[in-house]
Amino acid sequence: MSGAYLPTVGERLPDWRIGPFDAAALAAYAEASGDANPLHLDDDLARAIGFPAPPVHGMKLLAAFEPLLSAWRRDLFLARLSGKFVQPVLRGEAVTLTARVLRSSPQEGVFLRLLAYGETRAPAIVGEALMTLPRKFRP
Amino acid sequence: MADAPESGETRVGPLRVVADEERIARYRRETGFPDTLEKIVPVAFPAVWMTAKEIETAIRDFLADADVVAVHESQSFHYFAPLRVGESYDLTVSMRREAEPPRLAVNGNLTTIGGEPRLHAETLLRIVPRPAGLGSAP
Repeated sequence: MSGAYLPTVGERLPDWRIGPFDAAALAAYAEASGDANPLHLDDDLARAIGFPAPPVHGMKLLAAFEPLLSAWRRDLFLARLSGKFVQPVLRGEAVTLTARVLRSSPQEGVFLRLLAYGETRAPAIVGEALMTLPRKFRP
Repeated sequence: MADAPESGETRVGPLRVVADEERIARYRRETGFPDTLEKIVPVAFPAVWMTAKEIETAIRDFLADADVVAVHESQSFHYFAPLRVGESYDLTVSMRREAEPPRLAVNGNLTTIGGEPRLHAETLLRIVPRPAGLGSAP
C-alpha cells in the first residue's frame, strides 16, 4: 500500500446510524434480496417465537457496513466482509454501525472490527472487514 | 441439480448467475448505499444468488427429517477480485451438516465463466428445534 495514507491502528470511524426500519422497508428488502423468510414480515409469527416485533434481516444490516466503509475510504476496496448475527434488531429500532481499525499494514491491508447494535446497545452483529488497495485486488 | 457425494456433502450447481444492473440498483437502495449512478456490485449482493430455488430446495431437503428450523448464524464474503455489473458467473454451492453444535455450513464458490475464482462465501445456519407455535415444517 505504498503511497497511500494508512489509517492508524485504533482509529474509529464515525458512528453510522441507520433505520429505524418499518414494515414497508423490510418488505422492500425481502423483495430486493429474495429472502422470503416470513419471520421478518409477519407479526404473528414473530410473536409466536417470542419477539414483540419482526426482526430486521441480519443481511440487510451486514450489507449496510459497505456504505459506511466506502464513505470512509473510497480509495480502498472491501475485499472481505463477515459477521456473526448475535442478537436480532427489531422492526422500529434505530441501528448504529461502528468500525475500528485493528491492523493496518502495506502487506495485509486494513483490518477492521465491526459492530452493529440496536437501541438496547447489545451487540446485534459482530463482524470483520478487510480493505485493500485496488492493485492488490485485481486478478 | 443437487447431488450427494459419499463425503456427506451435497453439491448444487454450477448455477449461471448474472450481476443484473437493475437488481443491483434495487439491492443498493435497500441496503443504504447513496443514490448515485455508481455501477458497483455490493460485496454482500451474492447473498441474493444464494436464495436460488435449487439452493433453497437442497437446504430444505437437508432439514426435511427433523422438526427444526435453520437460523442464520453468520455470513462471510471473501473476494479474490471484484465483480462487474452485467457479467455472468458460475456459482457452485456445497453444504454439509455439522453435529456439535448442530449446524448447516453452506459454502458458495463463484467463478467467472472461464473458471477464474472471484468469491468464496460461507453461510452458517444454526439448526434449532422448531419453536412451539410455529407450526410444522412446510
